[in-house]
Amino acid sequence: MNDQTLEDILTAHADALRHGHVAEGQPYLAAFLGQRSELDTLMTLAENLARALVPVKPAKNFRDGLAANLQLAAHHQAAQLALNPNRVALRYPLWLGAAALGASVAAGGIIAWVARRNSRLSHSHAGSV
Amino acid sequence: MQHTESHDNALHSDSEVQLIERAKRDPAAFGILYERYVDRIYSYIYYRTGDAREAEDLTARVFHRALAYMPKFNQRGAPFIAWLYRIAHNLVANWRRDRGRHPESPLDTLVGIHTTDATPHAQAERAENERLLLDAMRQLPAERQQLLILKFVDGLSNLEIGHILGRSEGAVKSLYHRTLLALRDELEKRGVEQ
Repeated sequence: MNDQTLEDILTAHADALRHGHVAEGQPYLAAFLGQRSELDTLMTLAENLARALVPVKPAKNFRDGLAANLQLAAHHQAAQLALNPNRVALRYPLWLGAAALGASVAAGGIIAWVARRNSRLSHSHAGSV
Repeated sequence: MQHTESHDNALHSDSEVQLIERAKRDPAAFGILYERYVDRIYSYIYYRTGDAREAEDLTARVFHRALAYMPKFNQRGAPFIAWLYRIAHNLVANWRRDRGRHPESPLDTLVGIHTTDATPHAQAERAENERLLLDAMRQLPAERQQLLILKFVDGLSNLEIGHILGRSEGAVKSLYHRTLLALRDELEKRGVEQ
């Protein structure tokens, strides 16, 4: 059995588990007696995962409290945006400007260092001659 | 009041794309998105961290961050929940790095609650097995953990998982197989019998 077939079987098995149609992997195994051990292990693992991974819900007081906090924050944010609608739009060009300025300063520094180094080298060369 | 009711009804009948656009400036629309996805984000973080208190704290941070970045949110084909999962994933990664160790699996509030037909001894054994299984799962790479959570907790198909993970259906199918193999190896390494 190639990997493709194995993947198809495992997917079909997992889909059946998701829909609660298959409690055990036995019906699938009957058709693949040669690879029973490999499939059996992986299907048992999937069945254990399906039993262990059940949906959980947050506590109601946490859920409601967070909803209220978010509403407050959302109103605050909406008010700020209404007062200064360009704030968000302005931020990106500001970052770009700062990055360009930083890059220019760094490039200027490198050029100055190279020029100074060249001048020093030519002085020492002249001195030795 | 009548205006508010009609506003609420309009929001509920919006498509997801319209709702997201409204949520960029309308707190009520953001509230609907929150109600729609809070349980899934909480479940995801709960299984990634294994701790209900941390799950609450990180869930709150996910939605506050989503709210803050909402005006800049850009739909590029992926569903809104994929963006929330990405925020959650980053926050869980930071949390794990800050802690510098793995949690002590306080999943005992959850495991065993669906084993009422067994004897107390069998229930305890099953709960312990589930705890070990979830511990091993949390050693897998984040994307593989997410795949298992989306498949078994959210009950999504490979196609739906692919939309969230940004992969093809075939790639998810293959990843699921490799994830089961890796989990089996992890359990064997820990001497856990399945």
